[in-house]
Amino acid sequence: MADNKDLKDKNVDAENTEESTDTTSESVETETATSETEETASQTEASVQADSTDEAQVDADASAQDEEQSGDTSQEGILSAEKASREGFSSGQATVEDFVAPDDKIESDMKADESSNAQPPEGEIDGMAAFFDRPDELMQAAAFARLAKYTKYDAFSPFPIHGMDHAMGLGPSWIPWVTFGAGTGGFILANLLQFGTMTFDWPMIVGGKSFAPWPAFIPIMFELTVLLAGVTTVIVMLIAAGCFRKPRIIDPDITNDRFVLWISAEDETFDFEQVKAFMESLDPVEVRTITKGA
Amino acid sequence: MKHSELTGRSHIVNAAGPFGGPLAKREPLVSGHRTWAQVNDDIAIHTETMPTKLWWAAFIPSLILMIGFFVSLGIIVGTGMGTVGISHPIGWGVFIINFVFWIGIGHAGTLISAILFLFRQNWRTAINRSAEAMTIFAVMTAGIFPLMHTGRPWFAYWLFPIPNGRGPLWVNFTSPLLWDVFAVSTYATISVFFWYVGLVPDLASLRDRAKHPLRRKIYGILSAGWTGGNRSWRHYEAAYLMLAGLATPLVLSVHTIVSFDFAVSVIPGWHTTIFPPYFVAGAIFSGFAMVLTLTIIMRHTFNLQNYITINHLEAMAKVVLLTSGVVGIAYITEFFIAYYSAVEPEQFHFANRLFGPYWWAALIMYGCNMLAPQLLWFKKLRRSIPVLFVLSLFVNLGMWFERYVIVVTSLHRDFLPSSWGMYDFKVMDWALTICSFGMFMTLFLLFARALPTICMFEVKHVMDPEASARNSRKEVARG
Repeated sequence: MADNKDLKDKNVDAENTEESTDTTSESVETETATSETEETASQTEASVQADSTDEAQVDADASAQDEEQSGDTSQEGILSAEKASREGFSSGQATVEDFVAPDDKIESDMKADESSNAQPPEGEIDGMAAFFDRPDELMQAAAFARLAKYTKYDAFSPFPIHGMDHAMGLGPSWIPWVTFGAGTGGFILANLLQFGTMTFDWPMIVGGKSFAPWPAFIPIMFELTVLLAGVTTVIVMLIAAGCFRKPRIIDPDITNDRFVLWISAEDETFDFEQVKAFMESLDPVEVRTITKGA
Repeated sequence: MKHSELTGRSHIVNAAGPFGGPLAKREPLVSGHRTWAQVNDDIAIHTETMPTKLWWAAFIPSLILMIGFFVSLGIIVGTGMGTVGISHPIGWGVFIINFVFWIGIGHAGTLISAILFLFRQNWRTAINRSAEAMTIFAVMTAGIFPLMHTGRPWFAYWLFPIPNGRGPLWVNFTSPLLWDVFAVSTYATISVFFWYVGLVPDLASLRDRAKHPLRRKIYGILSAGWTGGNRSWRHYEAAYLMLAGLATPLVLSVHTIVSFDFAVSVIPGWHTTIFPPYFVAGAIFSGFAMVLTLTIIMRHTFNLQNYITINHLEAMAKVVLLTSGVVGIAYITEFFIAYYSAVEPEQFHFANRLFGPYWWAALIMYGCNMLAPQLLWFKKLRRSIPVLFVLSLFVNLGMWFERYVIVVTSLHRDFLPSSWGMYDFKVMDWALTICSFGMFMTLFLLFARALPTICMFEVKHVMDPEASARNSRKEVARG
């Protein structure tokens, strides 16, 4: 973290230096602490700040957006993001602001990028992928994709990244409700099964117990609750995670050690040039266009 | 020692802490300065190359034993229950001893994958996959025994409340034996699902590494199309947490219910309220010993010393020591309560346990479970692999004899001296007991061959991104 911070701090404007350095040193400590402990929402916030070291203002506005302030505030935030002059932003002359309003054309120089393929490649575009080497870089990139109002984007990583849900603006998963519902179902089933057979269908006195010996039914109530809850959770989770269909493998190394920000062509605001410029502004290792069937 | 840089102690950096005090930094969980890409290479390579000679040396005897196991089962089914030594008054012999033993072995796997997960013990990442596999194979082995114990395993479906033409005559839901049916089958199912969920991202890794199209196809189907997007991870992590939360009480309930099989009866030595916690602690104790045995073999066979480090083994040794203490206290409590209860058959039972004809079994049990693990108080011994290996075998032996003592000594002399008897192992008892290890080991070795033995994505998660990311070594100026 320290090296990375130093590298990036060089590019921070003089007026921002003091503020951002303060934020950084504070939040770096927080992040170290969170690696061991459970992350609360506020700590996650802190780690997001730590990752986008050079843009304290953007983060401040990102959190302002969380508090559901007006859209104007976030627009201003993005403008100030530009002022913070990221490394990538300054070189590519492209700003996040350009992508917020998709109708706007990028007026000025994409010259730096003309050497690479500025034109859309042949075939139908499935989406674009920006490759990173480190989870914190991806988290930062995902936070920018969210700020840029993309909706059909995802952050691919070899392992789950703590704080990524927050960076992408995703709420907590609804899976626990499935577990709860299925568990309740299992509990009801166990009651129906045990009372139905032993109390109603063929009442019998066994071991001097009554016709409805509910304490003796508790173990199976528990077991069926767990059984149904567990099995349902796994199946629903795999479906919710998009499994059981042909996967789109952007790169085989995503399950190894690469971190990818993906913006799908299905996104309403998807525009090849803009997405490309946006991704290059994020300082990735590589930007790749994925065509369908590739 | 190969990686002598690991000391097992935190590194103290003076004046680096939050308030100018010392900062204690734990040693890394993965030694040898591995990168994320190397994690995949190191672990997946065993599924991609021909097995080593060591693997064959373990596999062939295991397979022979497994065949022997099924032959013995065939003999018992074909000829009859008289081929084993069980008879009046010891009706619960080899089958129940081995059932409880194997179910107990399984418990460490769930403890590691669920309880240590909830406690955020990151060292579990290196061993949870193999421990969960161990759980499943142990439960599979265990499940055979009560079916055989019924005497007519072809009627095993009668154990389930299935509508039938006899009334329908239902199963007896007030019986602990039926609770066992539900507990063990639930435990087996949830263990398999838990294990599979943990496997999915790693199966996707294997799929993406695969060179051969058939191999890619097989792992592609197994990985269910996992791609690793955060919109998937979000649900994945929530589901994993839910499963851990469900499996934690489940694992406690399973051996509790197994202990009810004994405790609900009126036999002296069985009819005690201490049985549930005593059984659960014993299960975790024996399971951890088995995990130690297997991981020590595995890390040598598959060169996983960087992942299952000496620090991991020491952590497991500490759990063994703790659970040995719990079990030891339970043993002492049993004796005290027998004395204090003033119930004559109970007092007689415990005197008979120590000084009766089965004194040797009790001696092995108390020696291996209570006394031998006390060596682990010494850090030097906790970090000595030969000591740990031998000790883990002793604990396995001791825990098998614990079940032997509980089942046999309680039954062979109960209230009426006229109905006393003895139980001697016949050839078939020995065959079943020894050959069941063959089934367990064969399944485990096949697992180690076909699937990643270490949870790769979780190991990457606990590694330092600074040192293990792609291109981190080169420090290239990007952009």
